[in-house]
Amino acid sequence: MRRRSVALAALPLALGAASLGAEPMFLSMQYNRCTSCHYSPTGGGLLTPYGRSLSRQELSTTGRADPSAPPPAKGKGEESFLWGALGDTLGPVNVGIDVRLSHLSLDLGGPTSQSRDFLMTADLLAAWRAHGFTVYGEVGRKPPIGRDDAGIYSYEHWVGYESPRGLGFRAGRFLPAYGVRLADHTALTRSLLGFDKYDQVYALEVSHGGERHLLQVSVGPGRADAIVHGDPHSLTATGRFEWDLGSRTALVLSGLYRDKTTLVPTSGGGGIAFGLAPTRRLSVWTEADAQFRQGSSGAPAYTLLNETAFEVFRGMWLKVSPQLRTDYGDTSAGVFRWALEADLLPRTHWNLGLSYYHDKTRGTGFTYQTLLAQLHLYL
Amino acid sequence: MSPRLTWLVPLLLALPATGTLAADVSWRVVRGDVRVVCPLTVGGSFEARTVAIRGTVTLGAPGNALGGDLSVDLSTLDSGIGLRNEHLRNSYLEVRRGEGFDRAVLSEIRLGDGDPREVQGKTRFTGTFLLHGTKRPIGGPATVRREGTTVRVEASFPVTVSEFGIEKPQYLGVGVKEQVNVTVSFVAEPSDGPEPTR
Repeated sequence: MRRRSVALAALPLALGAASLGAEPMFLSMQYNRCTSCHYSPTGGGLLTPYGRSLSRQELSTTGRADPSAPPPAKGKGEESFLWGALGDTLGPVNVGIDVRLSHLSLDLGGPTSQSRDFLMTADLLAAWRAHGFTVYGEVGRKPPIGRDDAGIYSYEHWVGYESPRGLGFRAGRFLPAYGVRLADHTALTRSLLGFDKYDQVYALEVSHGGERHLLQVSVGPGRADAIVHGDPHSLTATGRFEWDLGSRTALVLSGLYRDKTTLVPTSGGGGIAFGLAPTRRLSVWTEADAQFRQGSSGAPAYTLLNETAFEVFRGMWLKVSPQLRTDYGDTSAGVFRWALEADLLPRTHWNLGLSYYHDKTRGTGFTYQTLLAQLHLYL
Repeated sequence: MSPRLTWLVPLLLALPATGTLAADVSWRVVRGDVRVVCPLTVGGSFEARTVAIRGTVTLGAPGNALGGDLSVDLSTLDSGIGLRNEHLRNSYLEVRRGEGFDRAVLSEIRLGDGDPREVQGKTRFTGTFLLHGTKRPIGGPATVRREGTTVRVEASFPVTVSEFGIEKPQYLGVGVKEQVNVTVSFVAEPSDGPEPTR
């Protein structure tokens, strides 16, 4: 029974909030910074006009237009909001809609398997950017999780500034910078650190970026969701340093500290990640983290993850990701996961994803499998 | 081999390191590549690369520039994705304009301060760079290594794009910074005449 409850705990993770995916695999195309394509310095969320253009020209199988043609007028073009139907009606504001229709099957073995169709994401995103300033917001439908009913919610809203010399700040609600932000929000590197679902923080982030480095440090009063609901929360600080060894190679060092609350003890972690793209179709990211928690004796909990992504043809990516997580104080316990994913982007705005997870509880040998199929529309 | 002659082996191996390149011998590039690192205004950088480097240079008397030139076919510069290639080649370098634009040419090369025939290891170079129909002096560090009958050269130099009349690269809010860095690596061999002196 206990084993099943452990496995069932995975279900809400898979159902949890998933913002538009950040894609570190695009290191293979020499994009080593999230801000090339996203408004958020930590990736994910609304695409910039450049990101939209790239999603059409370089990611979709059939959307590519004549690259020698001048870019379409603002707000126009297939890649624009609602295929350009509104033109520049919205002026300097860029808007997007993110919808994910999902089918999830969880196989625990025997009669306890679950399967359901649901709307994972239905978000409206908007950003205004001028003179180095960015105002960003998102509002959407929060899916029902556990005892919480579905409702309207905003996961991310912030204001930021970046100077021409690369010095920046951001204040508001956002996902803090840590490690590699994989598109799969259930990745074990994210879940143990609490970066897997309603895990944004209210914080102030200070950053400095250059040709070969990016430093991001954030400090804030804690988890945004806890603050909104008046739950116990405490100081949370993160730091991330990315050093681009080349245009296709990056080294990332990260740290996290969470002060204790009345419910949970002080915790934190540190990690190192390395990204390498030996060819324009292949990227390999590896991340190792160690997490500590006050009161837990013995070894820290470790997480080791690799994600290898390969572009089979334009718009078709395959990913393989072995992941290991150990328990606090017991390196022989924990979970081992194989995550396999196929991503098809047949046309601009359309993304079909098929993910398969095989999780094995170390020690007991209990296994469970999860299949997630998604139709992701980013309009 | 007679034990008496074994001492000859290390001596012969050591000789090339102390030799010089022959004067008035032409050296032809047999293979190489050119990498252009372009820092982005949003942070990070991308690299454009080509192996289409050709040319022959002739070592002259001390104090003189090398004869000949090295040229690169700019239409083969590859940044890894089509959209960027299109913009790089045609919108900014304007390779379709033909002569003066379709190739980058490095000429009037001077290696180090002394006799170019004796250059070995790390040094500096200067030259005249033709890009986008504009000639400008450039210079930077270089490394020259002789490997048997060939010579391996790696040199790098910054290029300020506006100095060559190139429009500021910018597309939908993402641009390339004012200065890019070019690294040239090639292996050359004598194109005729005697091999390098030993």
